[in-house]
Amino acid sequence: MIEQRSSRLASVLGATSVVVGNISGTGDLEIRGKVQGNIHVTGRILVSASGVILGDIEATTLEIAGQVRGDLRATDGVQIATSGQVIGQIHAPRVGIEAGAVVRGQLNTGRLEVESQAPPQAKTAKAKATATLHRSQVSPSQPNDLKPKTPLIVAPLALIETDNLPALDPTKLVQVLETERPAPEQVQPNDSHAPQESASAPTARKRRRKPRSRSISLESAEAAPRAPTPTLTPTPTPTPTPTSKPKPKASKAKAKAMEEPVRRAPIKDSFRPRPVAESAPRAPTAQHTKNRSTSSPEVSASPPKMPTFTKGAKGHRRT
Amino acid sequence: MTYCCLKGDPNNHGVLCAIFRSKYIVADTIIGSELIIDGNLRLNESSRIDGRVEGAVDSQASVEIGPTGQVASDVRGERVSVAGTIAGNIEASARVDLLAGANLTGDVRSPRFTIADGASFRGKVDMDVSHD
Repeated sequence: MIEQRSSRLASVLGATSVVVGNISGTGDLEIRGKVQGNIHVTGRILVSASGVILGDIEATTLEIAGQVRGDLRATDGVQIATSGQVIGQIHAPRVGIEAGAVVRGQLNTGRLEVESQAPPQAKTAKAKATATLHRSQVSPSQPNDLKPKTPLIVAPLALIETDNLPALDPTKLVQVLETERPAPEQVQPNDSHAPQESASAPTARKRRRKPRSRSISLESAEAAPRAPTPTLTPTPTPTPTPTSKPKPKASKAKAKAMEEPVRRAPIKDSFRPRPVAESAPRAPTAQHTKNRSTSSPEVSASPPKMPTFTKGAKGHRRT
Repeated sequence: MTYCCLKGDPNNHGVLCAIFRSKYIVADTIIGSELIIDGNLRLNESSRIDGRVEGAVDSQASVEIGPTGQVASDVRGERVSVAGTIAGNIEASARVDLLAGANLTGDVRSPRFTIADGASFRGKVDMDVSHD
C-alpha cells in the first residue's frame, strides 16, 4: 500500500514549476505545472488540470486533465478527462475521452507495435512488404530507414474534432492514410472492400466523423491486428501491373502494386493542397524521428511537426 | 528508502505522514530519483530533487537536493539544503546547508552557510550579500 502510494507519486512538478527542456526517466510523474519540451517516461504520467505541456509525451499510461500541445504516445492507454485539452496526435492501444474534453488531432487506437503479437514468420514478411511499399512512396529527401518502423497494423483511424478550428494539417492525414492503409486492405477476405474504402476515405476525412464510426473503430481495434497474419503472404491478390522494381519476394511486389495505383490517385487529386514533395514528407519525418530514434543526424535536422507551436530552445538539445 | 508526499495532497497522506514522519518529505515539487530533466527548472514553491537536473534550478522557495539528486548547473533558492551533488553555484537568500554526503563544486553565495561533517566542497563562499 505504501509502496504503491509512494511510487504513484514518485515525481511531481508543482503548480508553479516551469520546466524548459526534456524530461525522461522511469517512475510515475504528475505534472501540475508547465513543461516546454518532450517527456519520455516509463510509467504513468498524470497531467493535472493546471498542467500545461508543450511537447510530445510518451509513457506507459497517460492521464490528461490539463492542456497538451503535442503528440501523445502511450503503450498502455490514454485517458483524457473532462478538463483535458489535447492538440496533437494520440497513439495508444486504448484511448478514453470523457465528455467535455477537447481533442483535436488524429487518434490511433489499437496496438502500436505488431512485433510483439504476430508470429515471427508473418511478421518479417509483412515488415518487408511494407518497407518496400514505403520506400517507393517516400521522396528522396526523406530518410528511408525510418519508414519501415511505422506502426504497421493500427486499428482503423478515428478522426475527432470537437472544434471547428483549422488546426489539422491535411497533408498529415493524407500521409497517415497512405502509410496505414495496407493493413486493413489486406485483412479483408474479399477484394471488394479495398477500392471501396480508398474511394470513400477522402470524404470521410473531409466531414466530421460521427460517433458511430468512432465506436466501430474502437471495437474493431481488438480484432483488426490479429487478422492479417495468415492472409498476408499466400493470398493470391489480383495484381494490376507490377510497375515496381524487381524484388526478391513476390509478396512485396504484390503488395506494392496493389497499393500504389489504387490509393495515390484520389488522394492526390482532391486533398493535397500543396505539392507532394514539399508538404507530404513533413508530418512523418517529425513524427517518427522524434519517437523512434533521436540519434541520427537527419533527425535533428528535420523540421518541427507543428508549425504553430514553438518548442523551447532546449527542446531538441539532447542528441 | 524515503517516501515523499505532497503538501495538501487530496489523497490525504496525512496519516501516513504522521506514522512515518521521519521518512516523509513534504514538498510541492518532487523530482523522483529516476527522473532526468534535461533543461532548466523554475519554481515558486518548495521542491525536493532526488533525480537529475541537467540545467539550472531557479526557485523562490526552499530547494532540497536529496542524496541521489544531481544538479549540473546553478541552483538558486531561498534556502538550499544539499545532500547530493551540485556542479554549479548556489545562491540563496536565506541559507545554504551542505549535509553529510553532499558534493558541491562551485561558489556559494548566501548570508548563512553550514557544512556538515562528511560533505565535500570546492569553491568560494560569499556571505556578505548585502553589498549588491
